[in-house]
Amino acid sequence: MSTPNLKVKIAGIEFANPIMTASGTFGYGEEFNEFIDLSRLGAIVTKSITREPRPGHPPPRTAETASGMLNAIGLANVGVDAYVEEKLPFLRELGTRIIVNVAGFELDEFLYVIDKLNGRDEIDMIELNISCPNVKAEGLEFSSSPELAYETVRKVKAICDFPLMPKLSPNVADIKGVARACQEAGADAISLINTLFGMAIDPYSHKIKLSNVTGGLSGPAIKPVAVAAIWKVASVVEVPIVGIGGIMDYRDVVEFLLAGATAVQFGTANFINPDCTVKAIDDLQQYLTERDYTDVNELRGKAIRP
Amino acid sequence: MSIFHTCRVARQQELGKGIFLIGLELPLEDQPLPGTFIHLKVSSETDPLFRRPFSIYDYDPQTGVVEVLYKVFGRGTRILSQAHVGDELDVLGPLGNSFAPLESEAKLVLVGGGVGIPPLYLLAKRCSGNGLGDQKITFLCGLAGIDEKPMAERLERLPIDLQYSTDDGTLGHHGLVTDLLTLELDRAPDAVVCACGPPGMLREVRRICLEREIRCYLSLESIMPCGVGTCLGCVVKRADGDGYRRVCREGPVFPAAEIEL
Repeated sequence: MSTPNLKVKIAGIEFANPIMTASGTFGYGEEFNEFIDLSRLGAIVTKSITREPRPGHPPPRTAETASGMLNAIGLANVGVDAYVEEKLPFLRELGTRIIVNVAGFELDEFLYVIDKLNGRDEIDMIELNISCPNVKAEGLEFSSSPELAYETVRKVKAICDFPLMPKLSPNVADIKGVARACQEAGADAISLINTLFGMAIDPYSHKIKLSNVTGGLSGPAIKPVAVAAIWKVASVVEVPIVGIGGIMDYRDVVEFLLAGATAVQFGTANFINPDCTVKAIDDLQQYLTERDYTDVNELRGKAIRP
Repeated sequence: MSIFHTCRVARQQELGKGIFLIGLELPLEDQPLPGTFIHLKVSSETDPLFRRPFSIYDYDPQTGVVEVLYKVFGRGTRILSQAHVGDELDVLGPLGNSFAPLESEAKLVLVGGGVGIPPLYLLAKRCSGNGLGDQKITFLCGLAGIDEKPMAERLERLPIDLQYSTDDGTLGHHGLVTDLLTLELDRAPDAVVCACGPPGMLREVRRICLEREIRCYLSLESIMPCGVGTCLGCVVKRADGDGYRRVCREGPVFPAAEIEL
């Protein structure tokens, strides 16, 4: 019996399998090189890049919550110049798809960073972080309304050499409207969800647990929110959806595909089990084989089709 | 050597009120370096979600058992204390850096506060085994009270100068372990200091040593989601103002002058 196909296609690009790493949970890839075989991943999505290097927020930056994690790292990153010079050469050698997550505090910053990345053939796609809850600037609200999302994506798309995948926030009134606006503005794919807005206080010390006060909630606690968001968005867009939010293993991958995602990203799970992605690829293969599927794409949207 | 391990619990013993010693079958290629840690998943459930970092307390190359000495503080350690011999635990490690080689120093002063004692025990064992015995190693052991003395059980067997301080005066000096440090450094101003313990203690050790221009290494603890340098959650501020360092990766042991507490 032949092994089931794991390949998926997004924006005309073929990925070896639907398993990607979520931005901010996998560094620049090199951090995991000694632990797992990076070439097996469908794609590596690297940590958000901004115009300038950013040291990030003071500690404490993370807190554990019920089946979840709050973080306010503060987009700590090396900045786009160092990224291109120091990080991309390593990534090029891996033989896996590279998706660069780009963040910004204003539209001009997106445009500046994309311009610096344009022409680099080691990059397969840009994920546009229009949804980070941890930066206090106007940039926070890029994905808060369909109008703003449309304007941002349209202007970035106009100058971007690569397929563009905006990453959406769940902290919005109308995620369907935002997704539709992104598609109309030229987005080639849509990823969702970024973290939920959250906060935690210690009942004994009365101290707020994060130095930034609020942070982004991730992990298994948010998985049902993500599944519902994918289900909603899948009903209004044609572009491929990359699902994110609390995925821990292959069963969660299957759930996201059934809700309408073409591929998925593992985030917080990388912190708990650094080998979760490669395990999930093996387990997904076995799941499909045992159930006589010939192609992983058969699962897509299967639970939501009328 | 891979960092991924499924370890059988070889022993689990309550040494005193809430103080436990757990032994995990984790054969290592070399003796673990003092200061390194293992990152333990105390249960296979998603709640609690994070792993918990524990300094390596001791290692027996004959049995391949890594020992961790811990005190029940919160949910993670409570769940760990309920693990039975024969259970299997998911372990990453050993991880992190270690104390610099100190065998050639003339005088070592180790300052351990409570659950900060284990990595310093391993350091003292290694250094005293390598000829730095007798009066060359002074171990200042800070405890809440005599109830915590099981934390120092193995220290008693080493050929070192062991001094106690307790918060309640039930053992040794009634007061802070840093009181003892000041006295000791008056006698041995050329000593090298290594410390591990609660944040307040480490801040004071750092202040005393910097003031006297004494070489000092601190082993830090932090909330540590990943333990392998990726999440950037466990950072500590650099003293030169140039951002942060990761406790799990560049640490957990830092020269006191290089970080801010």
